[in-house]
Amino acid sequence: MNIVVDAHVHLWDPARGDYGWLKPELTGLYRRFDTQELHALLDTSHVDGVVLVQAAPTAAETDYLLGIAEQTSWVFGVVGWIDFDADNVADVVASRARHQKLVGVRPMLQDLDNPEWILHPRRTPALTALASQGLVLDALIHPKHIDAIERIAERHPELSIVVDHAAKPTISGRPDATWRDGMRRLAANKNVVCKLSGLLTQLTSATSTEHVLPHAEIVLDLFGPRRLLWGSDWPVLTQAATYSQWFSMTQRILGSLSEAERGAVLGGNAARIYQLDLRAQAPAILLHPADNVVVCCRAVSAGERIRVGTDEQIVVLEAAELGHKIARRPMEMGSKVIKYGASIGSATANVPAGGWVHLHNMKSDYISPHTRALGGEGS
Amino acid sequence: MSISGFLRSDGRKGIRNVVIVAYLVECAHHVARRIVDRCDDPDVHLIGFPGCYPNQYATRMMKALATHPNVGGVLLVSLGCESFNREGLARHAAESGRAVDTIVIQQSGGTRTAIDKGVATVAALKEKMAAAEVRVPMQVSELVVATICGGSDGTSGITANPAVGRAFDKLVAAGATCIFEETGEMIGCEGPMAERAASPEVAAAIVDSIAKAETYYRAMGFGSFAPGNAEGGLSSQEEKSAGAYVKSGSSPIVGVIKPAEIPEVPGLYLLDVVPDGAPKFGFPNISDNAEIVELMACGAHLTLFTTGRGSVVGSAIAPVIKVTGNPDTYRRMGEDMDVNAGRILEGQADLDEVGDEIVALVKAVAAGQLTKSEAMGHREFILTYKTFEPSGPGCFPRAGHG
Repeated sequence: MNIVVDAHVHLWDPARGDYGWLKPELTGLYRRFDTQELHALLDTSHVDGVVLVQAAPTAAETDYLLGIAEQTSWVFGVVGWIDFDADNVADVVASRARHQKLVGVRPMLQDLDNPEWILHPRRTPALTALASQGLVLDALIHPKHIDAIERIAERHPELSIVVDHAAKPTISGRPDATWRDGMRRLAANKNVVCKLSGLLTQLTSATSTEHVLPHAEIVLDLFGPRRLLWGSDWPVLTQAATYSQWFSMTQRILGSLSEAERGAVLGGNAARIYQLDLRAQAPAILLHPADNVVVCCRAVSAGERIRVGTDEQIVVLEAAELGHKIARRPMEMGSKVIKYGASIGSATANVPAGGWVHLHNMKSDYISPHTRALGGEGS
Repeated sequence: MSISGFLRSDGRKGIRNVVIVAYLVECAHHVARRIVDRCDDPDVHLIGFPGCYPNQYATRMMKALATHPNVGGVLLVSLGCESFNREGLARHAAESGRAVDTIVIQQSGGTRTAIDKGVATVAALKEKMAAAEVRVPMQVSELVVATICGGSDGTSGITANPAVGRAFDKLVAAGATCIFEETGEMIGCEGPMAERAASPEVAAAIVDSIAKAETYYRAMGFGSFAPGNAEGGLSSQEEKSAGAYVKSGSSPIVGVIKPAEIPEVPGLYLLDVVPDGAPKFGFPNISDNAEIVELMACGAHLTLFTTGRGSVVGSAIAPVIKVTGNPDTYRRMGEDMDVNAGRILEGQADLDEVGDEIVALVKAVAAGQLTKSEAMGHREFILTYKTFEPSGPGCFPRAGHG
């Protein structure tokens, strides 16, 4: 898989009025950020899509984000908010989980005075419900919350936990030993993964972008390339850097990884952890490297692009339904159609790359052994 | 996670330790079922053969099942006048070291006393089994893993089946024995399949088995390539069959076996489930469980069941791991599905990742983890009349003969 997913972005509109923290004095952030502006940035950095993360502690904002997601194919998922203290919290979680694009929930722990808020038994039904519905808990935390999240991870081994922004360490110099130790303890839990995001905005006046690197290396080392999710934290990011600056910095951080590992951090892990439906971006799959057809994972229409591997693209010429075949390369009349690495028949016409391959331009080569025996032996 | 197998005195190792309560004719079915119900024990399973007239295949099957490595104890429930050779079956199971007992309803005073006696007998068998229990380390190379498909849809051939194929490749590479089947669904694949044969004899056996399937299904009035297949995107007989065949992965095929023939050396086997001789007794397999039972009779410790639309079945004796290729089915019926291969369609995982997940689950289930169907009490079983000739020489490798 080579789809690039920004696992952490926000879209907001101060006029909605329920953000709390988003005050006019936050110049640069106190304005509307919409899909159009974000899409231009993604395009420049060749990012395929995003996970939208809540910014207000209200159900209304989650509805607002899901509304955007419904209309935007490249919004692969939404991490919303629910009231953990609602009496019917299990029903609320179940009802939210029915939305195809609701992939996780984020209580705004960093804003709560009590770092052990999440540990109170009153929060257990919500956490149990998240686990049973397969929704992710996004932990928006500071280092002082790490102990609590560690205990939650132990108590709920079935719950998938994503630590946002590497727990937001203050980057005032070399990595803090307490933070590093806390992250090590979190990483020891298999159900905890970490976002490689939000670090540039943790710099202080005494530090510069170079100080981010050792912090990023620590989380990469602790969580490994299969448990790290790349994200931008845009538009908060804009306080420290541009989208493309952070994207190229990420390439440096991941420079020592193999292509497959880099692909995992940049998208594969987000797809797996958040269970994102990427069919909008990956409408067909190649079943075997030797195949000259790909198979549609959903209905495709003319003009859509199908990506195969890292640098191969097929432009669909004709609409085709789920399960149908699209030519990966041009096929000459009489040549074999290869699927699963084996011949499934012959082309009865010249088929261009991107063409729909079916009964109108291919035929079976099959002669049954039954018929062969009758014909060949005359018996 | 290490596997701790149940060592049988015939040297085989099981991943479960169940008592089977086996009725030997439909007339004994009710009594056998009530015994199992009253035991209310997840490790006491009902199996049986309903026919009154003798059938060699059924006899061989029952013998193979009564000595299945997952079986530690056997209670036979006979009406008394059916033709099934209960003494022969009891002796066969006892010789393999299983705890065995028989209840003959006509000699027990009738339904209620037979049930009471049966419940007490199962308890006694379980005591014997506990006393004789030997747990030993078991390697993946000692596992026999089978696969079938059922309730297929357009997704099966592109997600669940190839993912199981990857799992089979990994298991065979680890030295395990793997079995795939349903020659009737592989018509058109005999060419590529024969090329994978480990010997010319096996290649010939593959081609023969497919030719037999074609003749049989034709006689039964089965069309092989239906208009619905074309609507789903399939363009040829060989493409349709390849979707089922891909479950076998890419390892060499070392042998072609028939029901109740047990592989003697590891590797990948094709199970020929289509009866020999002139078509009689109807369809080769009247439901998915008939195939699972035949795979178990070949020694399968567990079965990988791929489904698109969403089958819910499990099995007596050997756990069933269900792999769905359709993400919507997983969302709808997650409590019945062990693996969501539909993630491949949605771009969350590739075939290798799901293959790895299946292998990990096979190991976990072998180590004792319950599958979804097992945990929910599914213990399906069906066995009916069939006719088979023993496999000829060269169809599969024998131990000590290379």
